[in-house]
Amino acid sequence: MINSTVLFVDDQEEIRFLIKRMLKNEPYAMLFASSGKEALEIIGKTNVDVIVTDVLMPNMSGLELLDIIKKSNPNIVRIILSGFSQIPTLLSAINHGKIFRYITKPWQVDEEAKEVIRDAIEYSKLLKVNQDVNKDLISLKEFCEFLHKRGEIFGVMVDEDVTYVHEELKAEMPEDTPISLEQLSGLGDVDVVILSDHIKVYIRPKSADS
Amino acid sequence: MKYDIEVDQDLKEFIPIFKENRQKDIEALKLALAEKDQEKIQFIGHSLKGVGSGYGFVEVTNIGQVIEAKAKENAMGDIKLLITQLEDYMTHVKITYVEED
Repeated sequence: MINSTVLFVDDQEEIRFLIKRMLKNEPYAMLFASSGKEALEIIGKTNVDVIVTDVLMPNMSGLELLDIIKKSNPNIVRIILSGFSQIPTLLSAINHGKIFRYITKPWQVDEEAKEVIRDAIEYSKLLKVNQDVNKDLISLKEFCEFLHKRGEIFGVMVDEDVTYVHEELKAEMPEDTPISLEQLSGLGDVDVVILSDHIKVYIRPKSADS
Repeated sequence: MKYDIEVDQDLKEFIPIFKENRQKDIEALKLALAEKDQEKIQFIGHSLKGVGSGYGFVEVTNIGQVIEAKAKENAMGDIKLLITQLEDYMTHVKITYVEED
């Protein structure tokens, strides 16, 4: 989490100061913008994982800002900062997938708000992992086909938090390909090919048959 | 007593700016009321609500919340009373600075 960055957008300097003060011990970097325009400039130049924005701001509202970000940077996790009086607007935004969570105003030293932001950072990491895995899948499929043609016995291990990939892989891989640690242990001596941060391929060397 | 408040010591240097900004809000509210600018009043109420309690001025948040709601209802008579209430509060509030827990 220490390498994560959260961008806060609020037109009131006093609120930005409060946020900085309230979250000073949190384990992520904080950036601040005073308008939607400034927020977009920062996102254009810097890697941002989570954005927390006020709703009511001059020129560009928080929801308009999040709408743009949803299209341009869908992996940035979006949180809205809002009062209860705006709940109908918020519900619409939530139902249209514009925002991940909302934090209620007025700001106070609030553990729940801190947890919402931490959750958003974790969710952001998961999005990145899944994105990486999807990219890796293409090379994995090619690699599996190559091994299969060579008649190699092999298994595939995918990170636990991306287990949904198994089903996709199963459809693409030869029947009975081991995909769990339990099944892989039956392979005996294996070579391990680390295909990516999230996917490993275990190959039983041909010499093991002889 | 709502006029006696405790504020964390580390906010002390920001309090003069806070009070100055509230004075600006009061003037802006008076002007918006004269111009019957409902949207502007609602916006200032929203800002007051957001900023007050974070600095220990819970009453500012409370008044802001009511101003925002009344502006939505276009209850301009109530807004006038609320501005007076806010002005009175900001004039008479007594601050004690305390060390943070």
